[in-house]
Amino acid sequence: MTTISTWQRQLRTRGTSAAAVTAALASILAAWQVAVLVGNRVPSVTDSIQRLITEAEVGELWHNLALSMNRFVLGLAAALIVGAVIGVLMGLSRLADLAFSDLNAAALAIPAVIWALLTTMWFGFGWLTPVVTVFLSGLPFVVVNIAKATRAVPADLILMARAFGVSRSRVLREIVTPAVAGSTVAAVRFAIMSAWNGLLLAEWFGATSGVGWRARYWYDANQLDGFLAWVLVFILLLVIADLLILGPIERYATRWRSQ
Amino acid sequence: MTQTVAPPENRSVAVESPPRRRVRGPIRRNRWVVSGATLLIALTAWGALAAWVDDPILPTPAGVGEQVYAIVASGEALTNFAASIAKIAAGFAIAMVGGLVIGFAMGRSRFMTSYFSLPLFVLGNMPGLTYAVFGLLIFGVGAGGPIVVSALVALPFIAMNVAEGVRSVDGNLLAMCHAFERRRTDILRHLYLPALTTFVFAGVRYGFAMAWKVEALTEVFGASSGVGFMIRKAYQEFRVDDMLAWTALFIIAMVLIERGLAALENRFFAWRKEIA
Repeated sequence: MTTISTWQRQLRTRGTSAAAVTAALASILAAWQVAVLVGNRVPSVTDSIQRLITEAEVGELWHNLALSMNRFVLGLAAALIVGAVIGVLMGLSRLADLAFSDLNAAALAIPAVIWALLTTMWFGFGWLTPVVTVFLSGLPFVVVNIAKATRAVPADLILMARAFGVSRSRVLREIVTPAVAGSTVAAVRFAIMSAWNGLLLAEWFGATSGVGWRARYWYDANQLDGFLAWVLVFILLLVIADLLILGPIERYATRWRSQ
Repeated sequence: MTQTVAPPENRSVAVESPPRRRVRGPIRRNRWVVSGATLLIALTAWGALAAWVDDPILPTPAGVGEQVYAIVASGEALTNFAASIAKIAAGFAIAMVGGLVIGFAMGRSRFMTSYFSLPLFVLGNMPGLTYAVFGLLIFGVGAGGPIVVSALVALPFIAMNVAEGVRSVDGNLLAMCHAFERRRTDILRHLYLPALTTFVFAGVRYGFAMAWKVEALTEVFGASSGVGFMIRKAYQEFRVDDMLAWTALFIIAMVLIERGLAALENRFFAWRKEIA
């Protein structure tokens, strides 16, 4: 988990020369084009973008995106709230830490597909299946990182601040928040990654609407350019969420470290 | 953008092992008691819920336990886990070769670092569903799909860690090697190898956790053997107890392998103070 954030930090810190990134993009496209020529069933990127435009025209794109986002946000919010409560408990109390850490380690080991299949069997084809899958696949990551954040609060600094009569809001703003921010952003980031994966699988197996279902629709119809069109949407969403939104937030939250 | 070299704390992150080492002594003994008690409470809650629902859709812990026993006794567990693990191992061998090459390139050149960052980011963060479907489409139902998929998933972890390892090599030692005209193989063996092994190990551990999930997913979509295939079978027969039993076995196997790798790491690198 830490390696992901390490390389993202590198992505930003090591002079991301535009030339290298352009070359990388060009290589990815070229590699894909080779795959299109060699493998007879690999759809080409231009076809897929064409298909995506058609999807937008018939009104399937935004409709399904909105539905999925709705489920995603619902499940993620629940995971963040519950995870934060358990995580803070684990960070504060040794007993809670001992009690939950093994359970959480087991939960971390369960792949999202198992949750998706189980919830499909339990709740059938409805909104509950994706929401519960999102919740369950995001939760353990939130717990781990929030517990880490709580432990990172420097107790001695707080004691000193109290001794010098620093106001409570200033302690919160200048001691607690900077210490906690990094791991909290990491909690959100890993939860998003894992929960998004869970959402796609849950909608693939147990839904009749949403982005995962639509991708499956094209897969079942054996129209792979339609499937790839949706995959491009998934990747684009992840890149936006991670590199453009969470990345800068994390950089801002942890700016005090590199000084 | 402010600094060109990663701050030292980032370096240690790559080798930091996820389970925190606890203080030995009475707390260590308590640990098992508390952890076991929580597990027991969780199982009891599950049992109570199952008794209340009273439907095969939510089997009792005992029922799942019986199923686990049946799967293990029939030898299905062994053959399927062996099949899955063999595929992952083959994938890791490929990922190791690719990761070493890419990691070396990244560690030695700034341009290569920027160049590979985006592809590795995409590889490491692509939803598992995508891997599974393309694995099935391109390679069919055989072993090829899962092998290539686990190689692709593990590759970024190994490459990033190799790059970190290469960067961690002491430049002064390298200059000295050149001054004393050491042979390339000497430099590789005595300078790079010890620096790399710890980082590669960390990469393998994280990569394994990721790769196994995606590999199982690929098997769910299309395979003729392996854990994922058995999970799919349980789903198609609508047998929740079977699914939960495989889940339990999956967790046990994962934890055992995790612990095994961690123990191996401790043993290998006992001579390195900062890790021990």
